[in-house]
Amino acid sequence: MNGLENPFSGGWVARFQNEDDLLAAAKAMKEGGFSNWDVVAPFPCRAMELASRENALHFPVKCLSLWGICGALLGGVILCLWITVTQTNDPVLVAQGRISGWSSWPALVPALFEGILLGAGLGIACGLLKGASLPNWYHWVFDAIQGKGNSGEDFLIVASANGGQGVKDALESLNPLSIDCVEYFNERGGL
Amino acid sequence: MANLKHQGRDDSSRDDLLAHTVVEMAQSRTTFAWKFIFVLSVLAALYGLGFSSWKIASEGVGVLGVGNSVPWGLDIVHFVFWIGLGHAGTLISSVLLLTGQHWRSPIARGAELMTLCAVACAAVFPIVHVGRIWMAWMVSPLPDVSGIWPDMGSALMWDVLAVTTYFSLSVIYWYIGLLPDLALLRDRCSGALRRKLYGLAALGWFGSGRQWGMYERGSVLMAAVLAPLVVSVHSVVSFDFSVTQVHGWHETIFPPYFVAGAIFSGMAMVQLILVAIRFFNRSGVGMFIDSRLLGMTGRFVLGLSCVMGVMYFWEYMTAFLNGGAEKHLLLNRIQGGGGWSFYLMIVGNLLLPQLYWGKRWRRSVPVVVVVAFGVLAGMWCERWLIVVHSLEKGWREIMNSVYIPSWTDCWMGVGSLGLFVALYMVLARITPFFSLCDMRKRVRETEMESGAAS
Repeated sequence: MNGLENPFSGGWVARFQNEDDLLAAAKAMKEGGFSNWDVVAPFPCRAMELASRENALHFPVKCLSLWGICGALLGGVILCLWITVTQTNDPVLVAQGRISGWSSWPALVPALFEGILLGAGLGIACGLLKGASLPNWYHWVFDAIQGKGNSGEDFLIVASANGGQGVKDALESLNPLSIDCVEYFNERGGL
Repeated sequence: MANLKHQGRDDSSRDDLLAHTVVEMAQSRTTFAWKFIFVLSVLAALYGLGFSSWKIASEGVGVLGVGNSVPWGLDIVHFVFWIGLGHAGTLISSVLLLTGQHWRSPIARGAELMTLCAVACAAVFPIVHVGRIWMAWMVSPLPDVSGIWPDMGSALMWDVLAVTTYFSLSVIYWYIGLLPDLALLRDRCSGALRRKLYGLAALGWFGSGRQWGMYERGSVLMAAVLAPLVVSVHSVVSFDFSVTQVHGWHETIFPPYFVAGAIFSGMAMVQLILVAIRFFNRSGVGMFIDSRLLGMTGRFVLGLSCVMGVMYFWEYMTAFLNGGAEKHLLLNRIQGGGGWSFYLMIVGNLLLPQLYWGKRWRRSVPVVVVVAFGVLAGMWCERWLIVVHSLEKGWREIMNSVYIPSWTDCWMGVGSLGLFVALYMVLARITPFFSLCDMRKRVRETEMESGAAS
């Protein structure tokens, strides 16, 4: 199946009572040297900074700025080309004897500025969706949470089976409210 | 440890109340007052905008009060008024985010929503105002539709580009901010269809660290793009006037003047919306929209009122020192040439907000309502003076004319108000009005700060 020997894999979902317990558990996981685990919480919290997602995070958060810069450049280039084609090559409207084309470049600055900002905004939005893997209609963590009647309020540590030996034992030692084993289909592996 | 657990229960009960409020706002039954106002607004929008637009399209712009001397009338006044409100919303949200103002959490989403509704209302006017509505697509950047390309050096084309850019990015910014809260509604709402729809809208969000990291970083970057965009957009709107040779329009102070006025009127509108939301959703909402929040927005209004005072002083002093037709025009306004509008502008924009120097009045709901209506009326009058009065008074006495709005003009204004109210009521109901994750984070940070201090 797609050249993969074992596309079915396993993972664990451990629930914690509150943010403080989650933070303590995340610290323990980090100190234990485990990889490929993440935190799920109803709001951004400190435990997320400790999570280890080496196998999955092909898209670091810092890259988002790069998407914005690339979008801005692309927007600027498209606007430049458009202005060149429409205001210089073809017959254009000459209003009040004004020189057309790039010779009157100050009059084209507002349009260029808007194009650059539009490109930057669209670039950031696309980068955000890609980085957050959205839209995503199948994810094993999502299915595992929903299967347990998620209230949207859970503090979880989710760990992939390929994150290292003894992940389950480590999670159990952190005294979670519950811990569930989940089998999932994931070609890429990881989170 | 026991203390920690106890604190944990307090936190979770507070979080529950926050989440419960958001969910209840989305799925509670509408009250009679809500239905009455909504139906009234829809009818006003249908008749005011729908019927009037059809009338203008079928009979021509002759049904409006405009003529050769005053080609821009009430419709353009309303366009600038709504676009000003629209620009304020995202600016308030993005600038407060970038400057780390924690009190923004309860008002940010409402301000963004105001942007979308107000820009939708504003967009109607220039389209209708061209008369031949079916030809409005010719301003779009399509090749050779009439043998020539749109002139990119024209302020009107800048305006089209700026407003469409702004609207597009505002929708994206608003929607990205909604994702975690839509996921919460997916998980907590009752009803299969409702859960399904919210699930689709949430795009599969489940709140992993990776997603939150992207969300936080993306929100700040989008805000950083939107802040200069908003300033540029309302500056571009002011260029529609200031690049012309018309007295009263040809002023270099217009860009900052317009931007400050837009934020001013927008914050007043946000205050009205907060009061209305508190009135219609009593349970839980009062915890977030409290008198302290009204006080903070009141300070904002007061500060901007002072800025507007400086702008007016600057504008009038420049005209008086330079003399000529400009001085004649502005003197005419002071002497009552523009009717009651000059004095209403001064009272609404400069005098009424001075009440906010008093802390008690800043936090009083009746005072907030009076001042906010005063500011909105004052800003409307300012746009009336700029657009209409400047055109009424020509270079010479023989060029003077009087603009009298037609019934169609007036109904267009009423219709736009109806459209705004109806759109806002629907969107505030089906989408979360508060950014829950943002508010929770702020609550935690405040608690941690107070804990560290104690």
